[in-house]
Amino acid sequence: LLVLFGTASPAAPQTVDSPLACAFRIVDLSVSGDNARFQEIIREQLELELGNAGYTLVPAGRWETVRDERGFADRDLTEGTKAIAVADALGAQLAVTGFYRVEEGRIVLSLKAYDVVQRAFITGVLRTGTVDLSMYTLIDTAMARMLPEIRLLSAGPVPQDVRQVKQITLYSPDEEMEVYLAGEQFAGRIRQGALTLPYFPLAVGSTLRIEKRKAGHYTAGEDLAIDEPRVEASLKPLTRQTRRVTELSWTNRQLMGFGLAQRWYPVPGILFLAAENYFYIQHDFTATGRAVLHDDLRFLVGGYPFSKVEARFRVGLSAGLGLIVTGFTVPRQPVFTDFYLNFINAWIEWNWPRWMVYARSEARYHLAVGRDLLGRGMVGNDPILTLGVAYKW
Amino acid sequence: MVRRLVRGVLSLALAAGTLTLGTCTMFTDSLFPWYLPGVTASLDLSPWIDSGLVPDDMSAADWWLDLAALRDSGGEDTLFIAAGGYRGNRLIVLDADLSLAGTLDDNPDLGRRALVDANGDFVIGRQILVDPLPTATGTTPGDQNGAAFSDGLSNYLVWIDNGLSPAQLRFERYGGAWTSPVSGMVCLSATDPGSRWEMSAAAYDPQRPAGQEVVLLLRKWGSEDEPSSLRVVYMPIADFQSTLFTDAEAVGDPAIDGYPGFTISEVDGERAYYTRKGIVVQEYDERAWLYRSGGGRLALDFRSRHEFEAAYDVDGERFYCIDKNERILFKGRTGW
Repeated sequence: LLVLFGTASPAAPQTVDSPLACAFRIVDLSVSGDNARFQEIIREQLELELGNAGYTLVPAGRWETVRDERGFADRDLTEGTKAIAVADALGAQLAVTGFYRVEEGRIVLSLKAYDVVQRAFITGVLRTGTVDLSMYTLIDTAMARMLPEIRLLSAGPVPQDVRQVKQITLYSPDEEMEVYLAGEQFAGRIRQGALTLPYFPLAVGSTLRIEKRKAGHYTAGEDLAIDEPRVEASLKPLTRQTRRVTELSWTNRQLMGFGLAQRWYPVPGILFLAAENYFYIQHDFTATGRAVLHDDLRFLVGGYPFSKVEARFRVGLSAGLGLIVTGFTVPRQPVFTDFYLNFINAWIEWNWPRWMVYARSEARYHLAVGRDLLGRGMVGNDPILTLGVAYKW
Repeated sequence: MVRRLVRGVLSLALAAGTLTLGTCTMFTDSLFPWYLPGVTASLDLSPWIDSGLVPDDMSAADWWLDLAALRDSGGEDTLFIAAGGYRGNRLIVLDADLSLAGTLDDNPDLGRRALVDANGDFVIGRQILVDPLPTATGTTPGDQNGAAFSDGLSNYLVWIDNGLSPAQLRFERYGGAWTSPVSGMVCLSATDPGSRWEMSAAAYDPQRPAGQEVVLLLRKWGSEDEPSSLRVVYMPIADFQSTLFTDAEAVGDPAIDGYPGFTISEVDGERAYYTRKGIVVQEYDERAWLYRSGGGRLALDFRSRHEFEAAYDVDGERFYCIDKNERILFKGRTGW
């Protein structure tokens, strides 16, 4: 019984009292000094959320004293080891630190939380937004991202057997891919298919958010479940940026032919310029009929205003100018030219990393310029529908 | 992943294929006029239908155009194109190869009527034309847009008199020089005395079965309850050569209902033509339908987005189509 009480009594205050948290000053890294007022806004919001999460906050005067004793500045406390050292000296379980930067009306906010007892990084978040009323939402969402793991920490006494991660090894087919922690801290490059992360305090059972970057590829984030002291994780491959696309297509009302198109993307995967040529034969399939040849060339500007580059299904829009040249296989017949304004193409696309399949509808206004056959106005009562397959370069 | 992609593409292709097979016009469908594959020759008419005759800014719907293909006794086709705007009119005459034979300007007697008369001369409207074409040598009696035919011995003007009930088919027979008229009439549709009719076209074809050499295309006016229709009547030329119906009092017997023929229901029939393959009715949906007396019909689908006028040779083998917007003439095979 003595042994039982003897072991239970030191833990009792931790279960009864709310845990202490050190919310250090969120440092203003803006070039201009005009943005200090945001510090107060962020601090108030942070303290409110931590209080709601069950923490008692260490008064600023106390942690500032310890900070000064150790010769640190506020900016130094954005480093996890220094923040943990100050918080530990004050008996806090949680240390929250971070910075913000305001440039050209936009704010970047970074917050990190550390488990002081375990000397481990718990979670971090990086958010950007505009400097206006929506900034409160930005702070809210940043906190909301961190709170689940912070709450876990405050839920009860820290078990004595919480383990720390010893080694994290990442595998990836993307050679030379850069890995960042919490969106900002460079952790290394994939070499020969692997990367062992440098040691930093991290509790087993937490989740590590990494960001993957590689030239010519879309940047992607990935969450790693840290469930063993030694973690070996295979990262999902990055998607190559789409800079060129070659299309093959078929359109109703001109099925006796095919279209070829080439796209160039000034903004990879988002905005493109395209040249499209569709050659087709018109025939009535009678014994006396003769083929009539049509060649439709158009130049388009298009993009995906509503869809992410890696979305499985994307909606695209384009518009441009076109010309259909018509010739007869019967000799000595005139050549006709039908210019048109292709004022809207809309399509839905089944998107894969290297291929896509799409169904497109279009609307044209024919201009009746020169010797034409289709006259002025919109074409046809029936919709012009195209099915296409495209390869991404 | 590739397998799923291939499966997806195949599914789409299967869907497209099913849709394709389900619609027979899928591969012949086109944004462009459907008659283009049948075209064998063309001619730019803008040197003759020029801005002096029809201003360039004049809408194609605002100037008139009549087109007729006539076969002379030698079996050669000649094409007559009459066009006019605000500044007069012009008759353009082409041979079967679309080579220009000549033009005739500002003739007040031009019209839709077109025939080879008993002298073997061409008649366009009321104007008689002789070689070298188009030399104008005199005029015929009657309405320049009315129906007329010739049996090689006499010339006949035919029209409908809706002033009586039932309406009467009237004709006047003239000698070869369009002289000495003899009038005649026949009761029209005794079983339907309240109907009103219009003569859309009349033709004489010696190659038709005996007793049915004259073909009359009678347009029955529609009403709210009954759409207009076209009555095709085959009559013996002998009835026009005799004096049997010259008594205007002989109303009702014999009625035109007694003659062979057939009715084409629910067509406008304003633009209808006789050919040896059947009756061609040009519809406003840009199709021409060939109705055969034995039943059934075949389409010649123009599907042109431009204003156009069409005519057919008497064999029904060839069409002539003028794109009014581009002022270009196409000659082609009907495929019937």
